[in-house]
Amino acid sequence: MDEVIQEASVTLWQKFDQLRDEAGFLPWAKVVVRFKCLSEIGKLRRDRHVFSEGVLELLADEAEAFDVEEREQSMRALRLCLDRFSPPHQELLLAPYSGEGRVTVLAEQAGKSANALYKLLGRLREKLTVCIQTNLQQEAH
Amino acid sequence: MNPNELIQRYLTGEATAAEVAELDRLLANDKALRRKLIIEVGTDAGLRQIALERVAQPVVSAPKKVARFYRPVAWLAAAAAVVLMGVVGWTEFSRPQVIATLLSGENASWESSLPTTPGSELTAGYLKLTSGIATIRFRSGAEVILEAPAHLVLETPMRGRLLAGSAVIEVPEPAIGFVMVTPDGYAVDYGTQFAISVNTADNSSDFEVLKGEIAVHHPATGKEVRLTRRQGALISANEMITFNGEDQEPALAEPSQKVRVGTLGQAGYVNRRNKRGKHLQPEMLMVKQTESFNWDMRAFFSFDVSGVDLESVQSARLRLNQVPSGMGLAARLPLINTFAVYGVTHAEKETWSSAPTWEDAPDVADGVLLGTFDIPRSQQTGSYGIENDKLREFLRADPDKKVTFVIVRETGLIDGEGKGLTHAFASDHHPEASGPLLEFTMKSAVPASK
Repeated sequence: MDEVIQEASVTLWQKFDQLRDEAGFLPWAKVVVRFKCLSEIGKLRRDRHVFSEGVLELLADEAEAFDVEEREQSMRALRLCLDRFSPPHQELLLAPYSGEGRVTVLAEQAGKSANALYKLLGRLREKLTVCIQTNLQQEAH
Repeated sequence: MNPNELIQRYLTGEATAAEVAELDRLLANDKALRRKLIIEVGTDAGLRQIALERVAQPVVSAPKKVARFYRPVAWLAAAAAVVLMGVVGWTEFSRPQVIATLLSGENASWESSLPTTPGSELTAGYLKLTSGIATIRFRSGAEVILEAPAHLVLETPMRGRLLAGSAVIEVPEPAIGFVMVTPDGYAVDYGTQFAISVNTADNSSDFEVLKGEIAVHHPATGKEVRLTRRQGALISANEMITFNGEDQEPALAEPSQKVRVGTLGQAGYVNRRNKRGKHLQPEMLMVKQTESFNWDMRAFFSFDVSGVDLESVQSARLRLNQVPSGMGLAARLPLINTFAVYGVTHAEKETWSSAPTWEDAPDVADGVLLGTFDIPRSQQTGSYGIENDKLREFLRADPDKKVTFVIVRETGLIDGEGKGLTHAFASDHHPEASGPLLEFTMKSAVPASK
């Protein structure tokens, strides 16, 4: 993934002079990254399972509809919700992002199969999602 | 398979080609589901950020290192995360972020991987304050006055974790929402001043609002309370109690029971020359090792533990309070001085006459080594001792419920002129500090569940 970002930022700097003003920078950056991601996806399509181009476009639109405030809100909600879990559950929720094979290590430590732990992780993630959505709805009112 | 499950499998990279195709079809026709996926992707990105923040050591600069945390399978998540967070936010991860500034220290000494001179900028990491008071200002504006001994983890500008010790936290307007986590709960601040104290013996934590309002959360029970001025909450692994600060201190349902036993005057020290009179001070227990051996000193003392149910002892600690001896130069000592504690196993050596000699008094050869402790030469007062399984086993195995200990200094002098410092611990006759103590933490009747 980082190659995509790196390539995108190179493109970004090459096209920098085409930007009219500073305010236009970020939206433009997004467009470039988006474009780069889509072309990268095309390359990946050969050996991975990915969504169709149409759906990706729709998803990108949906993502762009999120404004700064909403992003901050969901990040706050995530932190609050995460803290409601017990420390071992928090560790499991963070495990997929804490380095390769972390879930397997946790499974070994707990004397459970990795599969069982992934199932638990799935349930915890659903709980987390419900919590975040409830939290966001409350803030919206 | 329901759409939620499909999304989870997709994000963890477990979904098969058929499952992805099914999700694709569902997404094409369902805007709400697309929004849901985006929120999930955001959660994914957020969790990734939190995982990075929680890596105790500051994340170092090379972007490649950061990339290591990204699962290649979750590439779309990352792609969408870029769109979500903006390219600018992304690059922030590649530099260690300054989280707080150390404003000042009063007699502060540290054990820390982070810089500890006042004015230092602090990144994520651990701060262990061993003595004194220190003031830390988080980037958000939240100010934490830390009282030693304390152990604080800096996580983000809006979040700290207090693992031990006491802190007073002041949160100005812009830092509302500041979170201080303790072993079994956390406080969210709503613009206020509040105090937290974490007791490492049982990991309980005590929150008290000095002014303003906070919310205290107890994840184990799912409880959340709002506290205002002078109200407080006490939490342990399995419960949360609220109280009014003007009333008496609360007590947990299962207080950790401590039993202390003193020597009742059964203590003394000897010197190798067997000099008495002005050479022996009744309020102190002196220990020393010299190069000529003439003025070597060792201390010994006994406890009657017949009143303690040794089978129910969870841990045992031998505590000695150091007092200034007023004799000799600390400069002749190594930086760190090591003291050894022996438990006497020869029953006939457990009693001594009113004026024992170097030869008669309990000695290291009459017992077994139970442990050692260190005192820096700069330190002339403080509480020291040992707490380990060897000590507990020694106490449990003793047949007559009278236990005797010998203390010697293992380290001698360094090159130089002048007499080396004699170390002294308070005896029961000392006017300020208490004499040797055995402290027992008893198992509670109902084992506390973690």
